[in-house]
Amino acid sequence: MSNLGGIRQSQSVLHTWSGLVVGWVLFLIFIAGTAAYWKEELTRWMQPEIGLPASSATAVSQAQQFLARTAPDAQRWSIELPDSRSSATAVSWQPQGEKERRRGQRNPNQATLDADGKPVQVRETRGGNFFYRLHFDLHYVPVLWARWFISACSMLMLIALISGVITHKKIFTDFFTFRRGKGQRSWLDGHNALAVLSLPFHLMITYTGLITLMTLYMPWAVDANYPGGRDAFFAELFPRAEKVEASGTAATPPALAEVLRRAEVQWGGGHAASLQVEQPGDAAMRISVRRQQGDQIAGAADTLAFDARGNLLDAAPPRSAAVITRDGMIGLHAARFAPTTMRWLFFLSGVAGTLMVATGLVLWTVKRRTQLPDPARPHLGFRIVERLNIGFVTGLPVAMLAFLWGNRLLPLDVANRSDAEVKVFFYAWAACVVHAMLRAPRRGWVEQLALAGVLALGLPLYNLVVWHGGALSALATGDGAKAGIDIGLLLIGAGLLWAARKVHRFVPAQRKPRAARATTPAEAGA
Amino acid sequence: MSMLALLLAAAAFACLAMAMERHHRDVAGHAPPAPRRRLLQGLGVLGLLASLLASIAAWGIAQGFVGWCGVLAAGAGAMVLWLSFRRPAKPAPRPSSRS
Amino acid sequence: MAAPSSPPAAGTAPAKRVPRGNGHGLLWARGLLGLLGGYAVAACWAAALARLLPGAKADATLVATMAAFVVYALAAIWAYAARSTLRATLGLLVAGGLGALLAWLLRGGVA
Repeated sequence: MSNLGGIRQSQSVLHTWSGLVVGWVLFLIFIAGTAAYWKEELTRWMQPEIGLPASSATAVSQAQQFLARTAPDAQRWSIELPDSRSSATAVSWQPQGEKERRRGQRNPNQATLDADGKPVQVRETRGGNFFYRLHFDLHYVPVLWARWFISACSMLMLIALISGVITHKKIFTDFFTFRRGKGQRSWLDGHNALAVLSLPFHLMITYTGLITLMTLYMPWAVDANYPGGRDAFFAELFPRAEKVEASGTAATPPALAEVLRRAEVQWGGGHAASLQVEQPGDAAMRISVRRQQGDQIAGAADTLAFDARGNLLDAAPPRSAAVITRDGMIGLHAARFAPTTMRWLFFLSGVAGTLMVATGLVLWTVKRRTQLPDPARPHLGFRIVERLNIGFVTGLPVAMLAFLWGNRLLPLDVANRSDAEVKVFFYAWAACVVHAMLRAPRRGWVEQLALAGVLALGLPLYNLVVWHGGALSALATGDGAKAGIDIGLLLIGAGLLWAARKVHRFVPAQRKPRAARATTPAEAGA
Repeated sequence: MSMLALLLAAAAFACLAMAMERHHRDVAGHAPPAPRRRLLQGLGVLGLLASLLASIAAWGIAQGFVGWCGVLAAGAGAMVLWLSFRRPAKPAPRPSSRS
Repeated sequence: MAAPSSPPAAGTAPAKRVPRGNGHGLLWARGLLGLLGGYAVAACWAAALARLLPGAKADATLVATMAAFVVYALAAIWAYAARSTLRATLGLLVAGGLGALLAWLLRGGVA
């Protein structure tokens, strides 16, 4: 009696409901996460004052000179090295007696160094990290709530994927099929193609995404084995080195470039991401060199410690298989290891995933419309869904592009400039949602797609005019990151305008109202 | 080398698509005869394996498998677009006075 | 959600054979069962596997947590695939109960 009919049927129902309920959130996660594949390049693009960075060895020497001049008695020095994707050396220091700063607090004791080792004023911006954090921390809500919510949505995504595969009867026969111009059939074909062709990616990204948040969302294994508290578990996994106490004997740090070289040799050719020197004015100092996460798939914060004379202290024990597996899963998700071509492939798969969610959302309304008693006058729920689709699927790209425009146009001396850029994003998004609610759906789609296209195309042009040649000069100096973003924006803008044109010219197929199809009027609309 | 992996994957999927009756009919006008089907399927599988080897050559063993999945998606996607856009979509019927 | 009684028009999906009058309530029941019941089953098995798996405590904990998501997905699919809501509920209770029992039986081994 309470039968859902056949396994394929039941999975179809599961697929539709699990997908729609969280479809909008998943679209946000996918679009922001896909953009985050280029977060370092975006940050570089968003700080056009800085050119190409120096090599690691040069950068660390310059940083050391700067810090020795500026803060020789600090409690701690931190040096973030530039790499092939990020732009500058970031140094910060913690004066004696000061407490640790919480994440998010402004730190006045910092500087950005350019390729010549000189401090440079760059515009304050969150850069690509805004999109990265947005896709799992959301914004304006407490981080823990956001991650719980995102975990729940990701769980539903995983279920939607698996049930989608089970319900897809002709997954091999229809593998290459995409019939255009056939209304609902085309949307379904598109949705299926986007899902099936990148299926390994979608399954991987969803599952590994859950793994990155797993101790928050599924803490029961930890609780089962560590009844005394979860801190014991984390202490075992990530042993924290003790704080270094000053011995009182003065000393100067060794050449950090040499320490860097020794670390890289120890890693068998690995690369360093950052250095920290605790108590740099004291003989008891400890120099910690952290490895780049992009060195391996299972890249983790592998750290080597050196003493005041540059000698290696005991290295940490090698990771267990379980830890390597988990690090590998997180590594696959973040794809920090991926060289440029592979990163493009990850990005394209992410775009496919984003479009898969978008086509799923649209497909829901297209299909529901055929089941309405009167397609010309749908009920309120349907109208809201239809318009929220626009607010998300086109509204979010508009907001993301507005964020980039904010980066270019906001004055450099605005207070809390990076927060101001974020506000631009949310205002633009809110405006798009309101616009979608007020306009007829077809006009809403066309107008927002066209707006997004214009915004996207405008940015490289702006760079060309205002930033002395934009992509062209970037290519000339070999700055692949900045040139790549500009070229990507051109392609995206062209694609959006093409889509706007298609929707504008679309003529819906003639649809007979349901009453004409039922055998008797009494059965229709029952 | 990664470009080679992509090209091999695209070519392999072209063979596999042609081995399917529906798409062979689309392109050549008739269903593929059995020996040609087997040949195309064999070539397709070989092509996929070759693209796996090219991926491993480009990126190493572990990363090669990961990259290969992306290569497959790109190659198959190219084939879907080619098959779909080979002929213009049937224009939607003109709306009557009714709608 | 009434059951359409007419043959589907060409190009649309086949009519869903949802029993008349049962539609929405049924979906919500199965949905909650899958979402919450599936989570409960996964939680029980996370605890059970954490104590069951060999090796260092931290490692077993990690593996158990990673496996729990697979359990969640399977449980949610079962909640929908089961032939009746009663079977779905019973299945989840048995699976969850088994995990909880295992976890409880093995509790002595925890320091």
